[in-house]
Amino acid sequence: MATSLADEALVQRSDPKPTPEQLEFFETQVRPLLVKRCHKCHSTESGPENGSLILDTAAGIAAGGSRGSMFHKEMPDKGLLLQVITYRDADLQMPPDGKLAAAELAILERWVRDGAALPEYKAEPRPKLSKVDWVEGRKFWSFQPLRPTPLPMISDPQWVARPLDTFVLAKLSAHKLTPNPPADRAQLLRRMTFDLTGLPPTPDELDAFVADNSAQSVERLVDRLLASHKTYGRLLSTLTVLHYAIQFRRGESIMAKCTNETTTSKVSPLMVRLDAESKRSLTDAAELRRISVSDYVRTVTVAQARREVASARDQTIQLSPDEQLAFWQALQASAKLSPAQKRLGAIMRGQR
Amino acid sequence: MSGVVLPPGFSLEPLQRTQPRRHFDCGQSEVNDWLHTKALQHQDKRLSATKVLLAGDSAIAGFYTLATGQVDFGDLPSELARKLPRRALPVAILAWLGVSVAHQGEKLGDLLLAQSLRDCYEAGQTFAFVAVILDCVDDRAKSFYQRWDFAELPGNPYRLFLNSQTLAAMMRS
Ligand SMILES: CC(C)(COP(=O)(O)OP(=O)(O)OC[C@H]1O[C@@H](n2cnc3c(N)ncnc32)[C@H](O)[C@@H]1OP(=O)(O)O)[C@@H](O)C(=O)NCCC(=O)NCCS
Repeated sequence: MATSLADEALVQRSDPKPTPEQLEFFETQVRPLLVKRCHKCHSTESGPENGSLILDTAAGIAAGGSRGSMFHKEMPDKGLLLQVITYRDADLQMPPDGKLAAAELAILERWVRDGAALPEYKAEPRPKLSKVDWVEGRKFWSFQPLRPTPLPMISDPQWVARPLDTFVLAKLSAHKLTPNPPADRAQLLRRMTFDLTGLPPTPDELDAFVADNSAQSVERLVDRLLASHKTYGRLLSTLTVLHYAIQFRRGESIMAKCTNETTTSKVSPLMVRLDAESKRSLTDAAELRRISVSDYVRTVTVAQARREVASARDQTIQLSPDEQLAFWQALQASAKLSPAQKRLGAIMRGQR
Repeated sequence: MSGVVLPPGFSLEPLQRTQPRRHFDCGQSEVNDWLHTKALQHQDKRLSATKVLLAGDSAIAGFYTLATGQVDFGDLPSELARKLPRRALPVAILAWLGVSVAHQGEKLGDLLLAQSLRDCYEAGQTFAFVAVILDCVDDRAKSFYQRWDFAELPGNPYRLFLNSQTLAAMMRS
């Protein structure tokens, strides 16, 4: 499927075969113009940075860039190429440093309206410009949609309280193990508190839980532990983004990496997924601060990342509450100039 | 006295279409790219202002770009907010600065920095801001600016700043 863009372009370009006049026009008028005004940023040599658009091969022209084909078959004037060179779209104007001269525009308009004839080229898949293989990358497990999985066969349906238990029992049986007897209330509290906070329960918590024999006591316990800001909530938000970041950057298994990178916080890997928008916010926000994603996510949560990205659009610098405080204090600081700053001040005032 | 004293034969002008900005090379591709392809567009849209230092042969020997921005203080504890309001406060940003390879080592970088800060100071007499932020394109740029003891913006290792009192003191003393 990786070739679909090029294929489309080929289908588009292959009908009527260009006439010799059309080809001559391309070679004598269009190609020199592309060389002069476009190749600096859009050529095999300049690389894929600028919209993955390569204009020094016929295949590249036919394939278009990351925004797709440059041509609109039915309505030539609506094609991307004419849109951008006529500066109709305020957000994408090419060349960026000044509009083409009227005569130059006329050449490209004529060429496009006349079918954008190109010399023959080999029907190759679009050259792979990006170092990242997105098609392969999308096959990674965490980018797969959720699918219902059939329940495995088990020996003791009585034991199963909820569907998830089926998988547990199936794996236990596969390893010739039998389930432990149910935990008593003290054990249950201890295990859950350790799992969710990394700490043992306090004696008071133990007494309260053992005494509470209402039907919802376990649910209430889990809710309380999950809501605990200092422990689980914080751990989760930091780890979520950390795991995500490690995986996103390297495309490797969370499990393997996370054990290397979080040796200090010994926690079982939390398989939490982030939606695409959160992921993008994180990478963009780290980029704004010019630090690596993994450094960024060590201190900052997804919500903060989102704020920072949204704000950058209106030239607002977003800081976390702690950072705001530090900066605010620095703004109040009285002006005690260092010797270097005194020297710079002198230059500012016009001394030599 | 209208500003920093430039060496003989140099002049400072607003960036214009006719200047040979595409030939500028400071050895840092992002900085070059900014001047080659974006500075003028942004200036035309009034998003930033760029001044270029022209050498005698009218080649561009250096340039800097200033912009405005704001820092959001919406999360400050309210007891502190009596002094400064809890909202986004304006800042001036020295977004880009570069000296052409042909002229590096002639102290032009320092002169451009001084003039850009002076521009900020003068603009601040009319449009107030709380700090000047210096955006550093890489570690080299950062060490160049750090020679003047500017502090890092918390959490942003590639942004340095000086508060407006410091800026004013530099113009006074
Ligand atoms: C950084 C840059 C502007 C310096 O310009 P310059 O005119 O060569 O520098 P100057 O001649 O004014 O140098 C003045 C002093 O800065 C020092 N200096 C220069 N670059 C430095 C660096 N990267 N780190 C530390 N010090 C540096 C010089 O050694 C000199 O020190 P001295 O006064 O003790 O002799 C220039 O090298 C450049 O354009 N670099 C690429 C773009 C860039 O980094 N821009 C910065 C922000 S976007």
